Amino acid sequence: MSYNIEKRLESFKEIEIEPSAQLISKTLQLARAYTEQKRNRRRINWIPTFMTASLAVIAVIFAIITFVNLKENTMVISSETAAIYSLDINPSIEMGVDSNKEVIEVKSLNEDGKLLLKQVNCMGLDIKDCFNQLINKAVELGYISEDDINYVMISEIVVKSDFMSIKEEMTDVTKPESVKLVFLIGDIEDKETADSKGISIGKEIFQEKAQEIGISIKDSDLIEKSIKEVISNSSSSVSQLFDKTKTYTTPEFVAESHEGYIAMTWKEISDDGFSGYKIVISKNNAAPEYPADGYLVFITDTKQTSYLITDQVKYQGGDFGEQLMDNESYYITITAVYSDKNITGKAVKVKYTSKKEVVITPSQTPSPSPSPVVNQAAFIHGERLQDGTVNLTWDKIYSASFTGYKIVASATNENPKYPDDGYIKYITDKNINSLHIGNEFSGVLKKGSNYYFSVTVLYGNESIAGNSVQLKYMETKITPPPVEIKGTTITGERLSNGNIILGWDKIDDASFTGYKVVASATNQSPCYPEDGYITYITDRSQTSLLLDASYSGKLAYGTEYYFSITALYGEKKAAGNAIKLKYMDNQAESEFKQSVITGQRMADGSVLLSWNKIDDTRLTGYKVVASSSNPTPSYPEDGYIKWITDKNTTSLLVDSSFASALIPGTEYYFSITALYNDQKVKVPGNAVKLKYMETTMSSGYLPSIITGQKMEDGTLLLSWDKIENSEFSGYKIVASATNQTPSYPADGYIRWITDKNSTSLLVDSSFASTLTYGTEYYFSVTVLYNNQTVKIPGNAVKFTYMSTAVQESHNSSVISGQRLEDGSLLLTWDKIESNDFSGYKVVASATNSSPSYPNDGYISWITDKNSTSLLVNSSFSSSLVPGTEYYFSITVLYNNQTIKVPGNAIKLKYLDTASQSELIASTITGQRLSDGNILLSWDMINVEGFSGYKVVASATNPNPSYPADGYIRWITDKNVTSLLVDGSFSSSLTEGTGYYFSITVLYNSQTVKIPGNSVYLLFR
Amino acid sequence: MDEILINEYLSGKDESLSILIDRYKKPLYKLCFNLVRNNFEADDLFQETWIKIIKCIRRYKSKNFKSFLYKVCINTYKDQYRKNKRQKNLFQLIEDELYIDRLNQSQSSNCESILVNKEQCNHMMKNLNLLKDHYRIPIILFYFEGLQYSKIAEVMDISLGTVKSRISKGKEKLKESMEVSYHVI
Repeated sequence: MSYNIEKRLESFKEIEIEPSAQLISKTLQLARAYTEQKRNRRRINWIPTFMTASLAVIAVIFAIITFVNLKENTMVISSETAAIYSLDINPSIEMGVDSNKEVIEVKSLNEDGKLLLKQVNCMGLDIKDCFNQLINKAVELGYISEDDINYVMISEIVVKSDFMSIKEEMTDVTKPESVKLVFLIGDIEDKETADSKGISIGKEIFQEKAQEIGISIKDSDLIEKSIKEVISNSSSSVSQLFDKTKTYTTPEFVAESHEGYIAMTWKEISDDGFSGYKIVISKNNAAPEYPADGYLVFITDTKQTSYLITDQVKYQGGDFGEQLMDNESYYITITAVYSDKNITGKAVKVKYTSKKEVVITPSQTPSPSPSPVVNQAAFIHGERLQDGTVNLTWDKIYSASFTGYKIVASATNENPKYPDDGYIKYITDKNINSLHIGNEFSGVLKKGSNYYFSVTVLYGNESIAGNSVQLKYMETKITPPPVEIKGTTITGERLSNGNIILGWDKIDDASFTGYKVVASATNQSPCYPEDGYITYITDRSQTSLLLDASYSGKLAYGTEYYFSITALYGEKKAAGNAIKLKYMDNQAESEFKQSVITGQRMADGSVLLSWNKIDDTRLTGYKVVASSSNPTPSYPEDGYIKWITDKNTTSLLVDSSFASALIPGTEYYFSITALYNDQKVKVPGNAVKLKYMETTMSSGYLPSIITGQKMEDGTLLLSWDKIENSEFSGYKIVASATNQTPSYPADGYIRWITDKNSTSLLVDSSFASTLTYGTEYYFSVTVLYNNQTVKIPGNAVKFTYMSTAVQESHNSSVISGQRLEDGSLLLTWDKIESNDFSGYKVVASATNSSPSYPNDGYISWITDKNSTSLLVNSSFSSSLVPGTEYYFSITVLYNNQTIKVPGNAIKLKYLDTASQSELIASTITGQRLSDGNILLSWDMINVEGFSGYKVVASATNPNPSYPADGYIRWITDKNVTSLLVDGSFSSSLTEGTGYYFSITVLYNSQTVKIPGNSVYLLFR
Repeated sequence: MDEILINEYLSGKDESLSILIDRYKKPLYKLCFNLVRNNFEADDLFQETWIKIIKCIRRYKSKNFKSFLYKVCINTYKDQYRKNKRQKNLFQLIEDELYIDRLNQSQSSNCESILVNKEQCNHMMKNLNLLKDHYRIPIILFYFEGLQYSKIAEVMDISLGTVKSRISKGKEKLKESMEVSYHVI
């Protein structure tokens, strides 16, 4: 019997399936609950310790019971595994990582893998660091020879869907130049197939990819041979998989609005061909991009990862004029500019508020939102959980210059800090402010030992260590006695307000680990894990649970559920009886009352607000809201000026201490939003309109006058006036190479001094990581008052930071160069012998006659001090324009790249424009053979710079070309000038269809593509 | 439109999320149902997908929300549901029959002529469900959901060539298994 599969499958397209209204309603309810939970999490800096303890215990136990042993030689996937990686050289290794991209599981897949893992402890390492260490060790052990071509294959399978691939970060992996690296992506089925064959996931995906280009690789070869041997024994086209593919990164950033500026921070892009970031702003276009929407600034220092938008810089080519307007919202994006295309990221809508005048206020209460730009330490606190693991939490940092938290542990140093004491974990997400230290740290911490834990916060090149807490890490576990498991009996009742109270029998067995409270609307005998759970209780003495509105994210109002308890005993479990009860009422929310506000203006201009007391046990607190524009302001839409959790407090004096949140002399609408049920329910009330204070200007906040003196040794001594004001908070010493009147926070700072008597600073070589030798800077002091809420900048003085005379240990390198016959350039330079040498940055600029790194970027980065020459040939044509004259220079980097010393420049012409015109197309001819196959032939290309032929086919485009129309075959041997298009192409071409075939010739490392003519032929 | 709704939602307007859910309820639910082939699991997958969307919406940066939604749905399916795929229970057989009934009742004039009878439809669905997800998901996206090859490549994070190749091989395998199992029957 014959089937027309296609037509049958097509007919399924007709079917309409709709979700039920109940499902949509439940989804919306869940979505609202998660949204609220998420927003609360972003607002709250810490989690109550009992909650983190429970979560940590849940995580550990869940991890234990869900571990599944597959095969002895395969890696297990735990519930914490977010992605799996493999590394194949000849050693084959598989690793599992958690959501933080840290290795939590590692397995060797062959003897060489075992040997390599004996030398490198991967556990707990960031996966990229792990690859770096493994590759370096493989070089040391001789698996990678630096003299010959080597292949390293890394593969990735994402297990958890919210895990971000590291594909775009692979450029961070360092490797010898002789190594060709390929990064493959597979899915979990590849893991299953690979395990069944006894090979790594990378080899499985590689075999599949090879199959796709028509090359068959035997399983036995993959098991027995190294990747290099497999490729050597296969067709040359297999090695194409290892050709470096160009990557484009979509820029991602966060933007925070502050008075007078918008702070942007983003992740560095280091792709080849990337030349800079364009900051794009639009008033109306929700997805603005360069060039269509103009740009504010073009940042060519690819290492720069932050920018402050002020109204001082004129906008070019936008839809809102040249400057940002006060209280207006804008869409902001970053367009990443590459040599061959632009990539624009997602837009963020931000309101701009212009800088307001400073107002005298006596003592102010701290602002409700933390100051975002002050570099400060993070206060840590921690606790030891029942299972011996440790839970740490610390203050969240909001500064725009934040780059990461280093979690440090020391058994001996009471005040450990990074880098002196190393670190056990590096977190770059500023919103993550807790860490559970469980079994996964057993490779770096000794069980049963006491450690001092602390957090060092990184701000660019600056690091600030905080306090420490001493806690014991784990205990060696004692083997538990045999487990005797029994369930527990549940009872319960529905209260008059719709809440449910559940109770159950206590379990005293020593092996008992927790109660899972289970609810199901459909299953009359629900149990864990089949029916999930609504809460997990590890305290055996807790034998009741109140299901109030806080469970509305897990249970639907007005729905009847079967409730039961599943008792857990390690990996064993026992379910108990079930009871049926209705959870809450649909009308429950209507019972929440609003609070009526009244207010009066006092003689001194302050405002006294009063409101009705709400006597409701579900009340969580009052949010006092103020808006100058919205006549009916409410929380969270209009923010809040005060959060009051004492339900008996029903008045608030809005005096000068609110001057950081409100503008004196302005009329505001004040209102109360009453919050119920752990802030899940918000009920706004009426509003009153009152004028807040009067505009008065302080005369007590003075600037400090700075002077400077150049010392004989090239250092600089700065001095400034002492400030005698009781509200003094500190001096920020500011330096800028471009801004003649620099100030904090717009220009950052180089030193923060809180002692008012400390009125001088020696700017010596210790500032070399922040300032560049031989560069002129404007130095100034910004004085901070009133808990750092008031900032008064002073005058500026101009000095050159360190003269060249003091750079004896940090020499520049003299460059020379010559143009070769083929137009390529040979650059040579002096070798640097310094011990703290980091590398040579080869810099080229068509316009700057004294180019240097980082201002002018670089075309090559060489870390081997003995490598003192570079052939700038056609392979650089993605960075340099042929036929153009460039100034070439070397910037020598020292001291872990913190010191940069530029050298002289030479001017040379790069290639010839004429050379491009010599690159010719290839003429194709073709014929249809009697069996329906097609024989294509084309002219041989015998030109310098030839990279290969792309054979292109299109059913619709009469002039097809690569890359627009893809390709059906890639041939790198110039002598191969024909191709038989037979049945093996039926996965790419449809039988019975006519195609236009054409050849695109690729030159200069595939950077130049020359398409040729086409022929039209029927395929089979 | 989707981008505007997402931005509004991120800036605190929950109604925009409701609109977004409503806009995609039909295509997303159809995909969920086609992946898991029973109403209970389709409901779960539908909900789970939206929860994940909420969790990771700040990272959404592509300009095609539908593709993003489908991608999250498929990854969620792979995470949680695929392991049960081959444990075809009575429920699922009943669901398949209901599905076929809907097909036969649909407006498509060629439906009944192509799918001669319910048994043949059932036969086809059974064999499709036996395919590896490698092949099954691209076929569902192409034939059931009407996605173009390029969109499937985007949703599944694979190359255009791989999509074409998997659909082509998937059809071959489906044809083979249908012919074999038909003769066995």
